[in-house]
Amino acid sequence: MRNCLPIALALVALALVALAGGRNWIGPGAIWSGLRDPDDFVIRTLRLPRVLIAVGVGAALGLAGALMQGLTRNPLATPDVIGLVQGAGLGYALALATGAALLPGAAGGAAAAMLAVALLSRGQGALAVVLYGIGVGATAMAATTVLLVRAPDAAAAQAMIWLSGSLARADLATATALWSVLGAALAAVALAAHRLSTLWLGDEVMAALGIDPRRMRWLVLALVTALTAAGTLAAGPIGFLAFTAAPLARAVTGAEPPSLLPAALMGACLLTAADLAARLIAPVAVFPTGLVVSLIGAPYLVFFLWRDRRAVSP
Amino acid sequence: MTRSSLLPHILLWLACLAALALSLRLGSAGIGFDALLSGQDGLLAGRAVRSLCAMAVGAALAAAGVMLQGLTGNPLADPGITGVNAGAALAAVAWAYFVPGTGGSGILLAAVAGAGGAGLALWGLAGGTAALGRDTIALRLPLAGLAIEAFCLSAAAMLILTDAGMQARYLRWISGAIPPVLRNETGPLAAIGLALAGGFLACGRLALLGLGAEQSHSLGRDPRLTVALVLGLVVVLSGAAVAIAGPIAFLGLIAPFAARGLAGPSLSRAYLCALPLGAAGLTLADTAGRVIARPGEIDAGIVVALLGGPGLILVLRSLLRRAGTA
Repeated sequence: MRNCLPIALALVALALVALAGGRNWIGPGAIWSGLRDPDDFVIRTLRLPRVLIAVGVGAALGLAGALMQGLTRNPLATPDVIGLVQGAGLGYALALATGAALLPGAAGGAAAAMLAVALLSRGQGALAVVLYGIGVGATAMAATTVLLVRAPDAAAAQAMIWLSGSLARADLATATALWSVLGAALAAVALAAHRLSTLWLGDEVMAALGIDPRRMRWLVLALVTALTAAGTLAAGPIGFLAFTAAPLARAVTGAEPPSLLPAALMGACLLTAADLAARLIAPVAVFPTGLVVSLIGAPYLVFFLWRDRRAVSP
Repeated sequence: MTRSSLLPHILLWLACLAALALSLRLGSAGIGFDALLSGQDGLLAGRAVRSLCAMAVGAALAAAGVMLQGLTGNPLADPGITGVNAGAALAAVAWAYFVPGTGGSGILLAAVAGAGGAGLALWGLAGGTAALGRDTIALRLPLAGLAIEAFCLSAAAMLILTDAGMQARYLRWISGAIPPVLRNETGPLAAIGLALAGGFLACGRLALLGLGAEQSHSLGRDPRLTVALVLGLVVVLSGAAVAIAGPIAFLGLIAPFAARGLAGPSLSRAYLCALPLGAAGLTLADTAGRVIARPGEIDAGIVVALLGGPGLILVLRSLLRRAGTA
C-alpha cells in the first residue's frame, strides 16, 4: 500500500492540471469556485466529466490489464492486445445500431472476443493466444468501422475519432455508469485481494492454500470483461493502455507482481496525461486521446520486444 | 509449362476480368452497361481509372507479400501486418504535411523511404539475423509489426487530424481507399508496373536462396545481392501502393496464401497466381464497398480488413499446426 502513495499523489496533481488546462488555462481559485458552482460551464460541464472519465477509464483498463497479465502469466495477454477492447467496441456499435442497452452490449462483445480467442488458441501456448487475439481484434475493429460508416448521420471523421478512442463525448451520465462498474470491481478486488495475490503463484500453490483455481479464474474473467466493457463504453477502443500500465507501475513503485492498485492508478495517470496532451495538441479541433496513448504504448511494445530479442521464444 | 498447369492461370485472369467488369458496372449509383458504353460524362473513363488503380495496388501488395514471405520463409510476412505499409503511410503524410505542394513524385519517394525504414526496424525487432531460421521468428514478426503499425498510423493520424487541408486529402486515404479520380498517380502506377516485372525475374534468384545461402552462392548467385534486390522491390511495391491507396493490410497475406495453395511449391508460379488474385481481390473489395453502403462508400481497406482478420486466423492455424507436427 505504501508504494501506491507516490502514484496517487501524482494522479491528484495530474487531475488538477487537467482541470486547469485546455484552450484557456484556469487558476486554482477559479477551479475551486467552479467545482462548487453547479452552473460553471467550463469546469462542471466540460472539464470535470472529462477528467472523471479519463481517470475512470484509465483505472479500469489498467486494472483489467494487470488482472489479465496475472491470470495468464503472460505480459502480452492484455485486453487491448488480444482483442477484448476491440470486441467490446464492436458490441457497443451493435447495441447502438439495434437500440439495445449499451453496457451489456459492450460486455457481450468483450466476452465473445474472449471466447473466440480461448477456443482458437486452446492448447497452443502463450504466443498463440496473443496472435489469435490480434486477428480477432482486427476483425472486430473492421466490423465496427463498417457499422459506424453505415450509420445514418455519421461522418468519416467522427467514426475515426471514436474508433481511435476519444473522450470528447464526456458527460456526467457516462461517468456515473463507468464509476459504478469501476467501484464494484475495486470492491471485489479489495475483498478478494488475498486470494488474488495467489493467482501469480500457479494453480498448485492455490490448491494447496485451499483456493479453488477454477473459481478464481471465472472471477478474474468476469472482472476483466466488466472493466473492459465499461472503459470502452466511455471512451471507445483505446489500445496499449492496459498493456503499458502494470509494467510501468511496477517499474515506478517496485511493487511485486499482483500490483493491481498501482496498475489502476498508473492507468489513470497515463490516460489523464494523454487526454490533457490531446486537448493541448488540438485546442480547437477534436483530437482522439487514444492516438496519444498509442504513441506512448507502441514504443513500449517496441522496447519490450527489443529487450526480449535474445530470448527468442517469449 | 504443361497444359494442366496453365489452366489455373487462365481461370484466375478470367476471374480478374470478371471483377473488372463488375467494378465498371457497379457503383454507388447502379448504371447499366448501355449507359456506361454510351460515353456519357466520361463515366466509363472515370471508373476505368479507379478499377485500374485497384488492380495495380492489389497486384503490387500480393507480389510484395509473395516475395517477403519467400525471403523470410514466413507465411505471416504481409507488408500490412509487418508495418511496412504503415511506415510508408507515415512518411508520405509527413512529406505532404511539411513539404506541401511537391506533387506525386515527392510523395512516392517519401513512401518508398518510409517503407524501407519500417522494414529495417521490423528486421531488428523480429530478432535480426540472430533469429533467422528459427521457428519463433515467425511468431515474433506480427507482434513487432503490430507495434510499428500502431505507432506509425497514430503519428500519421495526428498529422492528418490537426490540419484541415490534410483532413480533406488524407482522412479516407489513411484507412485504405482507392482514389476515385487520378490526382498524380501515374508515377506510382509506372513504378508498380516496372517492379512487378522485376519481381518475376527475381523469383528465380529468390527460389535459389530458399535452398540455402551456400547453395545459392555456389550456383553463382550472391545471396546478399538477392536479399537486397528482393527487399528493394518489396519496398518499391509497398511504397507505390501506399502512395496510391493508403496503407491496406491483409491483402498481401491472403492472396499469397491462396496462391501457394493453387501453385504448389514453385515460387515463380505462386508469384504469377498471386498477381491476378490480388488484383481481382482488391477490385472486388472496392466494388463491394461501393455497393453495400449506398449511397455512401466503405473504403476498400476496411472491406479487406473485414475479410483479412479471419484470413490471419486461418493462416495462423495452418502455421501453428505445421509447427505442432514438425
